[in-house]
Amino acid sequence: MTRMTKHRLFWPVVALLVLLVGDLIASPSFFKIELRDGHLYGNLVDILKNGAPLILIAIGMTLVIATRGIDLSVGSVVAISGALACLWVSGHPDGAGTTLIAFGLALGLSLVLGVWNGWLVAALGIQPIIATLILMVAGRGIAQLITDGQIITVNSHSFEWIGSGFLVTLPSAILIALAVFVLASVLVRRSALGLLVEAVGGNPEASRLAGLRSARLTWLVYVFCALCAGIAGLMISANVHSADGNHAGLFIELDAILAVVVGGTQLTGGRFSLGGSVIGALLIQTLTTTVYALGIPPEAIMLFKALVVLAVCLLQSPAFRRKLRRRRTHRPGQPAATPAPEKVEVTA
Amino acid sequence: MEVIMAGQPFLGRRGFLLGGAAVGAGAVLAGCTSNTPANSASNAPVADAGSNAQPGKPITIGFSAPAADHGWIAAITKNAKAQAQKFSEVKFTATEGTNDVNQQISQVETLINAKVDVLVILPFDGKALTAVGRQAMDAGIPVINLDRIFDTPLAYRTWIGGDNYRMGVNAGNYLAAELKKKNVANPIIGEVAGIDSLPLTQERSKGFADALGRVGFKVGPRVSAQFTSESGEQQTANLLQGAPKLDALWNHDDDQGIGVNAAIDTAGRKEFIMVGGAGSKNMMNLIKADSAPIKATVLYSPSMASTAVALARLLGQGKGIGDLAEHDVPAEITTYSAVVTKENVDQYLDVGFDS
Repeated sequence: MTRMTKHRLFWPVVALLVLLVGDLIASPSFFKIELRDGHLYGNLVDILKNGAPLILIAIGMTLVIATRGIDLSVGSVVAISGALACLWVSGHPDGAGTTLIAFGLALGLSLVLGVWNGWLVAALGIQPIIATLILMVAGRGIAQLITDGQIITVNSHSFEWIGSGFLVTLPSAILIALAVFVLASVLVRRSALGLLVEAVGGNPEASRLAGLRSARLTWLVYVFCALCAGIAGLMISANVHSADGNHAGLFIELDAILAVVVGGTQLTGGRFSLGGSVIGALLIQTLTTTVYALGIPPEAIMLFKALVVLAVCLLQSPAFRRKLRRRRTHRPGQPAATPAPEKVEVTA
Repeated sequence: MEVIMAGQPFLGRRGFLLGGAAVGAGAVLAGCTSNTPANSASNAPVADAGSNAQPGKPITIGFSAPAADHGWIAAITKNAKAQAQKFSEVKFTATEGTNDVNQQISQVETLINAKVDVLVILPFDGKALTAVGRQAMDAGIPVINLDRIFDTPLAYRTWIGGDNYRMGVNAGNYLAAELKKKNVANPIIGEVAGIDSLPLTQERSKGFADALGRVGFKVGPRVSAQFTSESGEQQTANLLQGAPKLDALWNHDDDQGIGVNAAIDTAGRKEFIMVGGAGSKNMMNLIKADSAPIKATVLYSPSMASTAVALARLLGQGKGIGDLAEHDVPAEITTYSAVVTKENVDQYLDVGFDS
């Protein structure tokens, strides 16, 4: 049992289950799933569908954070991607060809934006928080230039499929997020890529001296992160049949960072968990859906997220858990047991 | 006419939104005709009808509004500029739109220091900008307060804005009449509100509930969105989950209505009628097509900005409104929230704004 509680995914999973049980108690119909017109509908399906863009961004963000970086520009990339795709679709006849070109343009530009971030961080050595802050601010401006400050609405069934379509009864967004997760997991765990990312994040200088091309790898993770954000942008805009350069993907970078941290990846880089980030993203989306379903004012979402994330992070903290244990075992009238100093091994 | 933009990008691609209400207001304000027959006696002298249309003394109108980050505000800014361009003697100085209250205050102060003749201000926050409105009035610059009202009349010469309560009432009356026509006894009526903490949302909801209450109906499932299409979609999806059957739905805002429609479309629900709010071109086109659940939208028209500029010109030139008996521009003007349906949509398309 102790081994299980020490697992990095234990507390996020517990928090997610507690939240879902709370939903079930508060609203017994919360778990109701129905098949309508060959499609699955229900709150649980909504959590997965609406959480898909966040899952995608969290996957990309995990690899960036694993290299000791951070990408604050993902929200802007979401807005740019959706805006460019909708601009193309709105100006051309509906059809698979139009949609594919729109996807190609949006994802192509997302890759370029990823290359830009990677260049600033890996080639110029600018701190990631500053480098990506540039695009975070400028990107909103680019999105607004594309949309001319308006909401671009689209009426294209082929385009809408990526966000609100269905495949084998399930929303397509869920399946796309799952495909990206499987692909990323295979790449980082079935090849040396994951180990290299952890090495670069753990000690960039040592990995460089060991012959790893850390700059190229850093560049690669920023490109991948932007690509994930680009796909998420297409999903979000397709889901609402429109592109809003001002509000699309707003604060999604913060949600993604929270998801990664809750999932057990440390901001100091090194070891990472894609599965943990997915659970973190689902936890955050469940929170949002819970707030909506229980009729709590949407303004309270931020506060709820903060409290849940704080609770999970505290439970994940070994120091906090030690303090809790000490409190429980310490009886009144007895001096608190002082823990034995940890052995520190120093190697030359 | 000279338009000076203090750092604001010119949003030109989608063309100017020249509202019919703006044109109508222009006609009234220009006072080209008088409703009083030539030989009839009148209790008060009517201002010289023809004079307002002629160019008067050159004046500078200063304009300040929040960032054009959604369709309605963007239309406000466009309409104001477009109206100013109609007057050859008007120099129009607009500041860059901002949602930072302190920045807007400093921008208005810049206009005061530039000694503009009249100020048109749509404050991001009426309460926060009251002091700078008073500052302008104290400096002898008449202020036209647009929509979001200042805390005190000492901060403005004239207020012009929409009627949120009436918006709700008209939406409720329309739905009640339609449901009565269909002989629906106990209808399930949903509501997708805007940001609940805002007084404007509270007023709209109260008007809606009051109108329905008059005929014995009540508001059923209700959610609150954030005036964005994304929140509109998520909240409506949630409302539809909890309400397997609906007879009617009112959505407060046509910008968030894009998401509301998307959620309805995704859920494949068509059994109810829907009313929008504010009057975007998108929704008017859907109403005209008559293929979606949306059958009407209640206006909260950004054409009020055109009227505000026309009034500012009259104030700057010391004129009154041509057709009115009073010599001066009124202290308050409330626009009417007309219900736009398939029957009258063509009449209102010109005041629809691009969302």
